Amino acid sequence: MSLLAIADLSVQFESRSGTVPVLDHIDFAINTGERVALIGESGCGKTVFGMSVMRLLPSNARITGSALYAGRDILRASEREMQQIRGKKIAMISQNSAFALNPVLTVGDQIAESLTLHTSCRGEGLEREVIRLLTSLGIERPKENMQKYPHEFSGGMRERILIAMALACNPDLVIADEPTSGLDALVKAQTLRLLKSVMQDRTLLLITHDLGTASALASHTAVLYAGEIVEYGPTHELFRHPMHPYTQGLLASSPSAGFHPIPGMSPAPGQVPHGCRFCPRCSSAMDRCNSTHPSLKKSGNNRQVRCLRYD
Amino acid sequence: MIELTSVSKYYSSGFLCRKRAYVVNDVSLAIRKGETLGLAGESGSGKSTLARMMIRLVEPSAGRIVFDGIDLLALKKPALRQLRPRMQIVFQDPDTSLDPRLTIGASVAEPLVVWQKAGRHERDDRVIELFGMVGLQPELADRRPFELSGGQKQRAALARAIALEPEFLVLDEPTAALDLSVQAQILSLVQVLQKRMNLTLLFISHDLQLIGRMSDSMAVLHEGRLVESGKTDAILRRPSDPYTIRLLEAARESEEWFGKDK
Ligand SMILES: Nc1ncnc2c1ncn2[C@@H]1O[C@H](COP(=O)(O)OP(=O)(O)OP(=O)(O)O)[C@@H](O)[C@H]1O
Ligand SMILES: Nc1ncnc2c1ncn2[C@@H]1O[C@H](COP(=O)(O)OP(=O)(O)O)[C@@H](O)[C@H]1O
Ligand code: SF4
Ligand SMILES: [Mg+2]
Ligand SMILES: [Mg+2]
Repeated sequence: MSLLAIADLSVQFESRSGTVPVLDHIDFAINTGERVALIGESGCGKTVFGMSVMRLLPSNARITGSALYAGRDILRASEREMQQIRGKKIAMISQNSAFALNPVLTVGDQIAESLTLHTSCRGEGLEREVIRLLTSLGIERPKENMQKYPHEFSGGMRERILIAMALACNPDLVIADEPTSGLDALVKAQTLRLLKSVMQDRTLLLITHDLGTASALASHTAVLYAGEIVEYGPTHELFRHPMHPYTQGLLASSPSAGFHPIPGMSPAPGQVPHGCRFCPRCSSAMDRCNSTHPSLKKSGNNRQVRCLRYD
Repeated sequence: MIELTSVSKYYSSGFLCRKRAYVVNDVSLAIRKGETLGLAGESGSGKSTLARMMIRLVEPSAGRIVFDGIDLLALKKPALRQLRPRMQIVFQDPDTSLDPRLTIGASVAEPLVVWQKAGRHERDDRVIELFGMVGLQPELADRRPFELSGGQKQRAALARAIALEPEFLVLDEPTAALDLSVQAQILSLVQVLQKRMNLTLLFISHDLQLIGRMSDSMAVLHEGRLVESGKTDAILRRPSDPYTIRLLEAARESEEWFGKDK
């Protein structure tokens, strides 16, 4: 049974120059215990996807479709209901740790704040819980460190604090948006090891453009291109045998795998081709790719791909 | 093309400013014309500070920098200003490389205006030419940075940086915020431009795989000191410094995760 089942989710932004579609008819489900990565180019709508599940998009966003969480459509939940869900049931580690923390509160107070909001922890129990969380994330001298302000920590430490905050209320689902971006190679490797161990028995939606992060953490991976999911499957199968030409191109762009970029650029939102959206850049394109829009189809065990070659 | 001798940067504090916090400590290195030096090191190791000193955006506390035979640190403001068009930088964060209030067309044109490089019409043509060189559609010229993807912003920043045909270009982790395919595109573009313009490059990254792809020689910075420098191939094959070895291991670890059973 899916913990979160998203059906036909579309998101558009109203702007002065008209409506800009960003996500298009996304169907996507996460079962309890799965760790699913959503990968794709910068600007392809990964953050918007996470934000729509959290219902944190700005007011110029138009969302349609449904997102069933524990049988309830959170896209139609009231703001009061959402406050019960956000942080407590579904917690988000947002992109850019420099801005995600409140600069004028000590990190101890920030973690305590979310605990007070959603649990019955108070007083000494509260402090014990903050210390336990910091310790579980490998932060040494927690008593001393909880008195510090965010700017006194390095990027890697701030990322750990954000993870601690997200785990504070033992949520059913954690959404992590680019948890390793901006971290250097050594700190990234450390953070990945840590995330791997704390997320072991949890349900995770991982948003990232970094394939190393996805393959380290995710049991399943969905590839987003031009507002659509173009491929989905178990992470290691998908990376070993990518089916969609875009995924194949993405892997071939890696510095260790040839460093061959995909020609051209992904289309701007609102200017997608009529047929297959990848067609202008695809080296396997056929005549009908120009006019026929492929749908996301099951292919073999557990995999899905949106490409006419597999029809 | 550019040579550094015992360059340091420290910030003073304490009684009579006697405490010195070294950010860059006694670094000597050189880049030959048309070549690329890869600069690696963890975050906070002083890479950006060193790079900014090389084009004198940050004043070194000590040392000597010679750019194309010119003693860079001896230059007064006006002479330094004359030199500016010859050295340019692209920053790590696409959002800090461009003025958020300007359209990217205006951002790319700005150095041409400031340096009166062309008349109005020639300028427009040059901007379109530059957009073409970095693979940006000319229609995007009217957009502001927040309306663009990270890759498009970095392309625009690159177009702006090459507008005056610099000889020396610093790329400070230019693709850290971008995905693999865009990274490969932008970096192969950089390599094409380098050949065409005979650019000398300082390429900063903490990703040794990328440094391996991009550079002729490399240097590794650790807590402000140079712990390793030499030909890139040789260092990646046989690193001598323990810190470089750890960096290489971290790079291999993230490689190994590809295709590993879950
Ligand atoms: N004006 C300043 N005053 C005091 N310390 C400074 C100043 N500017 C930089 N530093 C310190 O110098 C060190 C090196 O900074 P720098 O930004 O050059 O590192 P970096 O290797 O580029 O890191 P990153 O990859 O995170 O950008 C850091 O510890 C930083 O805090
Ligand atoms: N408030 C907004 N108004 C208009 N467009 C927006 C807004 N927020 C995001 N977008 C657009 O949505 C697209 C996806 O953005 P985002 O989710 O941030 O991408 P990612 O996280 O994959 O880098 C981009 O093209 C961006 O310009
Ligand atoms: S449908 Fe055609 S154009 Fe699209 S990815 Fe498949 S082969 Fe390429
Ligand atoms: Mg994002
Ligand atoms: Mg830097």
